[in-house]
Amino acid sequence: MPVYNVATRRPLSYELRKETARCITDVHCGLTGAPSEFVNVIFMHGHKLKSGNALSVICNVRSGGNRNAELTEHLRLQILEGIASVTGIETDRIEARLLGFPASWAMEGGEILPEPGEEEAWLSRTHA
Amino acid sequence: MRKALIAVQAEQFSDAQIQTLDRLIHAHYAQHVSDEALLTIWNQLPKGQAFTDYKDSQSSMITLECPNGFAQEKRVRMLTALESDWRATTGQNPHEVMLALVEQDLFGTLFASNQQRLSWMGRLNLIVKMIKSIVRARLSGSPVSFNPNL
Repeated sequence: MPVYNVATRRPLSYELRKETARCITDVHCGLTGAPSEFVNVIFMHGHKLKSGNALSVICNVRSGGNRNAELTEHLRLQILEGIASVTGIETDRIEARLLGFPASWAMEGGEILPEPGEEEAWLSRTHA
Repeated sequence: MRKALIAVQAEQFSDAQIQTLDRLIHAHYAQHVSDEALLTIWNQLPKGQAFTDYKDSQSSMITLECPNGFAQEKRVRMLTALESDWRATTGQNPHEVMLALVEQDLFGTLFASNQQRLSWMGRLNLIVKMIKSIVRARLSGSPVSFNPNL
C-alpha cells in the first residue's frame, strides 16, 4: 500500500514503465513521508479509456493520520504532472484518482499497516 | 456474492499453488468473515508490469470484500491467518504479501473505479473478457484468472 494502478491504451515500453514507477514512488514518498517499500505500481494496457484519455491511474492510499484533503489533492496533481513529464502524454489526456482507506484495514510485513506518519516504529518492528 | 481481487506476478506460482491459495482464501473467508459465496478474481501480471520499491515486483496483493462495520478484531484474525498460510505455500517473505479486508461500500468504489475509467467499448471488452474467464474457470474447475491487458 499504496497500489498505483496505471491503465493505458497503448503499451508503454519496459523502460518507460520503470521510469514512471520511479517517478510515482519519488512523488508519493516525497510528499507523504511513506517508505518506498510500501509503494506498488502496476501497469496494464489495451484499455479503451473514456474521454480520449491515453492514461488513467487509480491509487488506493492510506487515509487519516497526517494526511488531509489538501495533501491528498496535492499528491494527485503531482502524480499527474510527474507521469505527464515522464511519458510525454499531455496532462489533459491523463486521469488520476486517489481513493483513501483506513490503514487498519490492511496488512503488510505480517502486521496491520501503521497510520500515516507513524511508520518509524512499524518499520523497526517488522524489520527486526 | 462477495468478491476478492488478487494480483500476483505471472509465472511466479504454479497452477497447483494457485489452486491451493484459492482454497485457503475461501476457507479463511468462510471461517473468519462470512459463509456468503466469494468470487475470487486472479490478475496475473505479466513480467515487467509491476514494481515495488522501484524494483520489479515479487509481491502479491490480496483485497477482499467484507460487510460494512466489520469488527477490527475479526479482521486482524482473518488477515493474520491467511497471511501465514499464504506464505507457507509460496515461501514469500512478509513484505511481499499485502492483504486488505475492505468494507463493501469502499470495495464497491474500488471495483467500480476500474470500469468507470473506460469508454463504453472498453467496458464491453472488459465484461466479455471477464465472462470468458469465468466460463473457462467453471469448465476447468480452476479459479477465475486473467491477464489484465485487454
